[in-house]
Amino acid sequence: MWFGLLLLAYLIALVYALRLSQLAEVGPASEHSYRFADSNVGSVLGVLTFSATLFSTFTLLGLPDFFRNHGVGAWIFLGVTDMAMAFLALWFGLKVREKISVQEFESVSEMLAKTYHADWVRFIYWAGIFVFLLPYVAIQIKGVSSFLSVAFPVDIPNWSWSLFILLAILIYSHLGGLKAIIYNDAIQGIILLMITLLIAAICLDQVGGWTSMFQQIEEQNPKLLSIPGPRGLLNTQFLLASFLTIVLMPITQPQLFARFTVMRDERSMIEMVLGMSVFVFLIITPTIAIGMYGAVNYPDLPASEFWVNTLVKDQPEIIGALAVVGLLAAAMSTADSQLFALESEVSPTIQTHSFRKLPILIFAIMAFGLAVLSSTELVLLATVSFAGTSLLAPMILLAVLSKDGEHPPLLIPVICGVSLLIYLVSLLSGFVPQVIFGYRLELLLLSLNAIIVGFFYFLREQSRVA
Amino acid sequence: MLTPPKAWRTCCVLAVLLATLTFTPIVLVPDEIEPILMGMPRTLWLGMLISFGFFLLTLWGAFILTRQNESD
Repeated sequence: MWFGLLLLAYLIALVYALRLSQLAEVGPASEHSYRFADSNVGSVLGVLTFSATLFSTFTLLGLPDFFRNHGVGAWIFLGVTDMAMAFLALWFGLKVREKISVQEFESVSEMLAKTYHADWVRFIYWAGIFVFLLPYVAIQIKGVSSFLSVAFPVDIPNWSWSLFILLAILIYSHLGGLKAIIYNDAIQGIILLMITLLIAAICLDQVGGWTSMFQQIEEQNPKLLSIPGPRGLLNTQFLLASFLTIVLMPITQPQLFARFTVMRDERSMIEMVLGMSVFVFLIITPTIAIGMYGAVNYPDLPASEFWVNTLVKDQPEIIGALAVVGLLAAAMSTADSQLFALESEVSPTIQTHSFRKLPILIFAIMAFGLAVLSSTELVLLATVSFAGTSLLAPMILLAVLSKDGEHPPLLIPVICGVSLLIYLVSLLSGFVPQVIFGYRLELLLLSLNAIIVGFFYFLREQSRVA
Repeated sequence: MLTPPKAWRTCCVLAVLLATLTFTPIVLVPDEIEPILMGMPRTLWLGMLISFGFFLLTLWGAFILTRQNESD
């Protein structure tokens, strides 16, 4: 009963947010207002939309499971990484705003095409984001749909939930554009934070507090209290590769990149990044308690059973129902921004204005199809999506750092495109090994790209000085 | 007192040093739980300390860049 009521309350809140976003229109509805929220987003909304977009269902499902299986090293994997990402976002966000003030662009791919003076560069970017982000959206929708079908008292198939989520996203995105997404993200971000804190507090209480929790873990499985963890996953190389690929997310992922451009001014953007780093602490710390609770009570259960038990069955009915709504909010807030960002990358290339809102429908249908027909390859692409898109970072970074009228060498996008292709081949076939000379392929490719880009950047700086 | 560009450069250098420190054997010691701080094993509290270090650098950076932005 609680789930039905809370779901209803959540939907009402989304409609209310949509109405609020329409009331906040500063002028007549236009394409700029639809796509860029009038570039008038304040710092509080900025913090919530950036955080809600960044923290997907992985926060409430994947991260606790990571702590449960691999131990406290998971903090280095995401806690340290996300805080470092906030620092990079501070610098990069201002560079993006500097760039947009001298060169007008509507999307990352347009900025790349203009800066490199070659239209084909946008296709490399599209290839990277479509191949990795669409599976990510699909897997999130699928994951939360499975959860909803278990939690809802009436037997509703998974695909119906997927359809319902995507339809809701399509409706508010179509009616309110980015502004509606941002307002909905704010609600979804608050819900996700509250639920995570609440469930963590209950879990912590049930294991007898913070210190007692670690004592119980030490008795049961002490390997969880150090790196590389019981399964040996969290070694230095894995943590370093994850650090580099996740830190680069604001550069490579269009939904985060867009958040820098829609802020009201530089001050709001700086405050947004600062607020986001506080959000990181607030949301990742509780997942330690949820994960360790699982390690104490359900060390050997499969992930799906751990989630259902910890988040729903072991909680009072209302909290369990809130957790499911929280998961729904987490999935929707990431998926809506990703689908909208994918649309924004393609739309400016469509000449007929009335068709410009069509791509989001096509991407939603594709995400629905992928969610229903989910395969092993799809899951693999979704799980490595950060690593995949990070290979695009050098060409985006160099483009953003280029001054107006400067055209960086076309060799850079070529190298990024080839790296992406090699990485994809390594994932989908055994033709290219995923580990070469003991090093992870993505780490080798990223290092190589960084050296080449660094070299060109150094050369350019030298010629400027000369 | 450091000028904003110099202070920002110092801030960036400290961030790079902190990131480098994270992946050295000073922080990542395999199978080491001790010393325990507030019930937390070594990897966790050191990791939290590094995260807090990044937070302080972001805070300082935000202050510098806001000041620089306003003076521009």
